[in-house]
Amino acid sequence: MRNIFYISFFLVALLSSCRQTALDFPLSGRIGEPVPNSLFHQESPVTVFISKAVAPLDSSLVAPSPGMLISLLENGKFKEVLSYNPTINAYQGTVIPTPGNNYGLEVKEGSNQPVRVSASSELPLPPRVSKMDFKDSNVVIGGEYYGTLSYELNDVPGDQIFRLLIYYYNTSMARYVPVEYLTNDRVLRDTLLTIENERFFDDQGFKDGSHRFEVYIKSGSYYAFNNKNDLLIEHFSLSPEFYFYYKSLNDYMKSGNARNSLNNRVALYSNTSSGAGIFAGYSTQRDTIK
Amino acid sequence: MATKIVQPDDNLCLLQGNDVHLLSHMRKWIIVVLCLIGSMARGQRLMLTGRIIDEITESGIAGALLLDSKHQLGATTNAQGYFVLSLPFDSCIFEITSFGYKSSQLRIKLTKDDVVQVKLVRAPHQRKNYGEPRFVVPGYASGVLHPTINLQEQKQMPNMLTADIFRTSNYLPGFQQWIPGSSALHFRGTSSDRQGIYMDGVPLFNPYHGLGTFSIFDRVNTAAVTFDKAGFDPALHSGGASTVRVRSRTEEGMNHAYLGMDPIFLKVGGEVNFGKFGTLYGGLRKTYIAGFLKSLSDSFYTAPLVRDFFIKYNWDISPRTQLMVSVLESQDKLEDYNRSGKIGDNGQPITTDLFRQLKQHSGAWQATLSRRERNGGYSEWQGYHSFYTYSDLITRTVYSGIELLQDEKSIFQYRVGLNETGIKYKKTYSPGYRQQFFWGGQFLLRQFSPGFRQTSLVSVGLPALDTIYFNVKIPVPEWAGYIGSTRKLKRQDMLEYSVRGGLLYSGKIRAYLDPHITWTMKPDSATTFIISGDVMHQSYHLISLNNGAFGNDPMVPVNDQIKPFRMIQLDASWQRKWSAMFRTDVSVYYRNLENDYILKPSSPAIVRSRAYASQLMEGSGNIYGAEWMLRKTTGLTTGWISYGFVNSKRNYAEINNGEPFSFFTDRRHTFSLMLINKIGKRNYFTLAFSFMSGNPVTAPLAKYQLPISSSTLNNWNGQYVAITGGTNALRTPWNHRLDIGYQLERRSRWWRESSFNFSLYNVYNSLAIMDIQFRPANGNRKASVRGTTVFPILPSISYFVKF
Repeated sequence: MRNIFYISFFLVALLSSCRQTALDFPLSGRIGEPVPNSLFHQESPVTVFISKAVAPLDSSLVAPSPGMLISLLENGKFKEVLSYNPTINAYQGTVIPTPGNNYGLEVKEGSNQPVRVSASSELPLPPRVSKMDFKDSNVVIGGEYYGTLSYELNDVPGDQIFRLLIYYYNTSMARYVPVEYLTNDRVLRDTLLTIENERFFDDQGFKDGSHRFEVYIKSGSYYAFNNKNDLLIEHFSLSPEFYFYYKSLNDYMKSGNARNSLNNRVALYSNTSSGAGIFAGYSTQRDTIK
Repeated sequence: MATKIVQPDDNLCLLQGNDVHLLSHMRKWIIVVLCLIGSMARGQRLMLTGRIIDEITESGIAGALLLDSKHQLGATTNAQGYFVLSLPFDSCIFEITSFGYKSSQLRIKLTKDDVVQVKLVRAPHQRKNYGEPRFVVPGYASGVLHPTINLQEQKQMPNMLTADIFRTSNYLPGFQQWIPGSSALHFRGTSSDRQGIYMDGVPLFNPYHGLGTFSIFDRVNTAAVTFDKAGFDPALHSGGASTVRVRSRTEEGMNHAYLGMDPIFLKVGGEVNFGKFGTLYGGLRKTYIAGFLKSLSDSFYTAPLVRDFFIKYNWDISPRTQLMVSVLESQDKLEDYNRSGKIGDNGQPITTDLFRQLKQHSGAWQATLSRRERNGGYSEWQGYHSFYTYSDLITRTVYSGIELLQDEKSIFQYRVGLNETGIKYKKTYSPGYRQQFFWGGQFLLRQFSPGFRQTSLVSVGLPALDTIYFNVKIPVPEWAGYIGSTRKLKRQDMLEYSVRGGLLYSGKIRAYLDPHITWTMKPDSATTFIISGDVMHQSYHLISLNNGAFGNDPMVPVNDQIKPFRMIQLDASWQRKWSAMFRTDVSVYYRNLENDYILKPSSPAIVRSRAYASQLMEGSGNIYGAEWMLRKTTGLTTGWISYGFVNSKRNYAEINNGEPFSFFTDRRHTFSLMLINKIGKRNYFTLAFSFMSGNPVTAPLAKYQLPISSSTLNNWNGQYVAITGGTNALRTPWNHRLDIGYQLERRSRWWRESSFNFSLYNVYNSLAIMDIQFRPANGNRKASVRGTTVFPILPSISYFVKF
């Protein structure tokens, strides 16, 4: 019986010899592949960051390859060639994109080379906000005072996805800082996605119409009675590509995308022809309450 | 079965039967006189008089029931076992049943009054089958070809370290193993969390040890396992996509003790007969080596300490009253999560500490008191409790209740019960989500209309659910009932159909309807062709935390935000018995899944078990597949060849850009060969070969850097992210392996029985990928994607002695 015990112990030790083996996945095919990253909007020219895999599973945000040509298309027609801006280590155009238009991107290794990577996305019309109002400390919730921010958001044509961020101006930090708020609004409660203080919602509840929002911002700590700081309300109209990318990026980061052995990894959304990178548009509308 | 008929006599007609016995002359003449008087008194009616006796003692059996379901005639015997029946028909078929005896059939043709005597055969160790549904439910397609593995087959199959009936089940067609050697039941494209597992009718939660490497079911506690492929029982309410019915080990009727050893467990147990005070059977398994799982994934888990035990007590309190008590309990303790130095794909250290310490404790007990009444009625009191606790996260999951079943054989039946199911999380891990709990009662009223060509049954249930959700109490009552019927068609064809309907109120009314229909055709005695359609709803979800069968998968009930899971299955099966030895089974099926919830990828690992609605996403799925098996059931060599094909796709709006992708259970092709060869009188040589397609995986192929100066990217600017091949778009290599086993059984004056099993798992050391990792280049080392393999060639020995 004792021998059986020893033999069993030996077998367990053998089991511990499990090992790793290399898999024949297509790593080398990705070397040198340009990966464009561009989230463009209606306030500045299109900027494209290019990464390149320099070795399997390794890469860097690279300086331009000699002869690399990045073209911008508008509604399917050539618009301009983006030039390299060493300050930001990215390719930048001169044309301010127009909301409602469709933009395309083509990456070539040289002028006579075929298109290596392409992508396209629409720049949505910016959201329209009206009748914005703020009443200071007019609501008591849980024994504490809250100010009421209300406004009307008018829908724009097509199926829209919006993103809402509210900031206050922190004088000591000299910058806008996201503010947390409470709401009973059904649109803001049944969001598509909530990431910390960012709320993503669609226009299904007020299609081709408008919706009046009401949120409660706590008085005191960051919005003091006697030191009224600016509130910045930022609305984004997102292209579907932007939303899917942002969502998958959030999943990717929140999952740690850790080498968490027993769970599947998150695949980042991509709308490029190569399956890596993003080219997506969004429009913004900023309103300030002083 | 033994149908005993009196011999011919001038005053007694000849009846069909096997054996004939004489009553004593005195008793005979008394009975004949009674018959003649009765006949004159009743005109055209004929009198049938008789006695039901014990085959051994020949004493009368009190309370035995005779029932002619065609003519709805019946009688019960008196205290001396006599009965008298007035028959308006000359031809009758009686089913004779009595508690503790095998049922018997009596066919008679009367031309004049008659007297019969029937001997019943005792069935002392074939008691009520507690693993089967408590009522015979019309519409429950007992004819569908459910694959079964019994204890004898389990004993003979090659073991991997320890014998496990769930693992050996993975050789059957329709199963897709997560990793080779796993005990997780991935069946017909769904994960182990969608299989409702019932032991003797009581649901069990997460019956797995060691991360799904083995289950709690082995020869210590299990008699047989049956997998329901189709024709699901509408009475099993929360069956999920399939139901797995485990029948607990029953006593052997002899005093014995045993000692068993294998590389993981030490097993002790035995059986004691207390004579008229019943029989006690019990077994204990306990790991005596720690650390065997250490290598599963780079020291993720260490020091697993596992034990489980099983006790079952049967007592025939009286000839009509029986008590059964059983307890099954298991504990796991896994400690130490090694976090040091592990880097994720994004170059960031892994921060999860979910498995810093894991203790799980689960089990089920039940006590059943059943009684056969003198008038033929049957009642059963049953109390049961199934529980699960998971340290640091879940403090309680329970399913418990008490039920009274009444009059199983009479025209009216009822079942009254109260059960409770709940899950409660620890406060420290779930602020804002303290507990989730539902309870309810189940009150069933059943009507049973016996008839030769048709039976039907109606029930109405009232399980109420009560959920505390985000500290807001949301009652979710549910009403459910079902009706079923069986029709015999021409030849031996049969149509079974039932429908289960339910109504849930969870802020909004949710109604569901689960029709089940099975058409069994028998063109000849050797061929069976079955077409079935099933709809199954499940009012709670077990949420898979990973691809395996973790014991901590949380249970989430339906509420105002979470809908019931629904599966529609169409199945066509064909079976042919080629001879007494060979049988072929072929099945094709299609499954459609709705409201299949999984965790969102963004759910941080630390709160993965706080499975509230915001962390779940709802999806759908389509699965189709085919299964083929050729099985040899008798002879010196038995076994089977099987092939399974499955295509299992899921669709979640938030994964893979909303496009369908292969689910992790999608092992496209599986092939198994199982040969059990008997050598001599008691030795067996077993060979098992299996082939499987690879697992679908999402693998990092390269990485790139996000823009540094983008203000729209939260705080993720400048981080590295991976280029993947799409969600589950790549597959690990296919794998195959060969296992062999040799079992010697011996009896000697020292040992009542001994069995020695030597198994060689993975004979030619074929390494199967369990998981993939990412290894960047470093110096001269090239970057690579690497797969962790588990379970190389693995000999194991087990020794089991009864004395």
